[in-house]
Amino acid sequence: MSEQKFVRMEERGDALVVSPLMAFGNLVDPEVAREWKLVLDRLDSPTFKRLVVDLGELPYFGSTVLDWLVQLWNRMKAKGGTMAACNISRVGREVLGLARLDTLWRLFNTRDEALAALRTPDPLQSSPSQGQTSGS
Amino acid sequence: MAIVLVVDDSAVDRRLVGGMLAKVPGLAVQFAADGREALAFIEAESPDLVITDLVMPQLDGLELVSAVVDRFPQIPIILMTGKGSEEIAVAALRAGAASYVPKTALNQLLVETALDILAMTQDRKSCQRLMECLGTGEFAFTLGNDADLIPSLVSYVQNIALSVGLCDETDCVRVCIALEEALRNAMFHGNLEISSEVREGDPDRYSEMLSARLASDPWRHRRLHVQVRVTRKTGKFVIRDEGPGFDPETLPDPTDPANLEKVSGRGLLLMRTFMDEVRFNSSGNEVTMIKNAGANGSGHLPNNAGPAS
Repeated sequence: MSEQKFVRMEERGDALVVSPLMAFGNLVDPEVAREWKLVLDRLDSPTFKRLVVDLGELPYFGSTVLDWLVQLWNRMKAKGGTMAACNISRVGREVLGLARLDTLWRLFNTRDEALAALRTPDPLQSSPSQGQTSGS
Repeated sequence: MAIVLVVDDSAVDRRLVGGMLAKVPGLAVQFAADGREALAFIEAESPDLVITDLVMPQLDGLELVSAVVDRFPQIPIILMTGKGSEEIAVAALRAGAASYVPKTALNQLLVETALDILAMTQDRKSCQRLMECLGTGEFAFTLGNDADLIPSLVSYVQNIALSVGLCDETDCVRVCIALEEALRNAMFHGNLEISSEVREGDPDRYSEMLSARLASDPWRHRRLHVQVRVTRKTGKFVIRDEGPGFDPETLPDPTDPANLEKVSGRGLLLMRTFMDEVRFNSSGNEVTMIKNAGANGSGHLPNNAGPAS
């Protein structure tokens, strides 16, 4: 487990679990940017085919975190990997739903559910416009 | 009369600690012999302060700290620690204990610490009572382009909105998300004129541009003007930047499937969803957002929104 201030990373086999620890306002803040680069560098490793973003430390979040999630998604998509998010607050689910980002990746209650689900084919990737969500 | 609950499984220690506190005018001392008994007393009597031993049967001092912080966060708790328990004391503070006193220094520190904590708690309670009397919160801020101030301003507005009773905590979070989006838009896009394209591009270039504009004319002298008026019935939030403005109608729909994977562009969507009314002035450098009491933000959700967990 890494010791980071803004983003924690944990390896689970071929999966990387990324947990934002606070709703940073800006990815160009030098400290945030440094940790953000570490995440992207780690994600670029061929080891990781699955990415789980654990949002359990964020009671709520806005567009900055959405931007951040989309960057992660684009990175995973480019390398043919899969992504899911978990431990999302009620308002967090609202925000993801409003932005329709729950049509890009699946949402789960726990990280174990997310890790398990990513071992199976992602139904959202075959029908990205259906607005399907997983978990409750 | 402030009620102080002393929790210790040792009758001798209970008498010792109780004796010190009982000498102080205005304190009424009560006792519990373990953590479970303490929780029952706290639930029934809501004491003003809890002082607990660390090592006890059934529910120890650290577990009691966690339980009190979780179930009765308004009640401060002081832990009495034995020799060599410094790490546990740190753990207790991290878990939410108000303070700790080594048992070897009870004579010197216990009463003073207890009175300090009680005084702070009393101040907080008075402040809360005062805020419950607030009818209208109205204020204006003029900010430089310091993004670190945005969370503090949002938190301030949140406290006022909750105190006045504009909305419940969940809806207040939605208001705060919208407010934060508006402030960031005004600061980064308005005053500093940094486009979404730059933000989505090379982070180093974005960072360089941000630093340069924060230090150069005309951007560095631009200010953010924030007016807030919150009553029990409605909240009005006006945010004006000193940039050239923009036409909000030209922004692409971020929920269009063609735009879903674009990195930015969702701020206005959140503002429009979580507020009841959002309007820009003709030049686009001032936004007025209205939140009416009783309006549930979730009522604005489109059909595809994910279920609440």
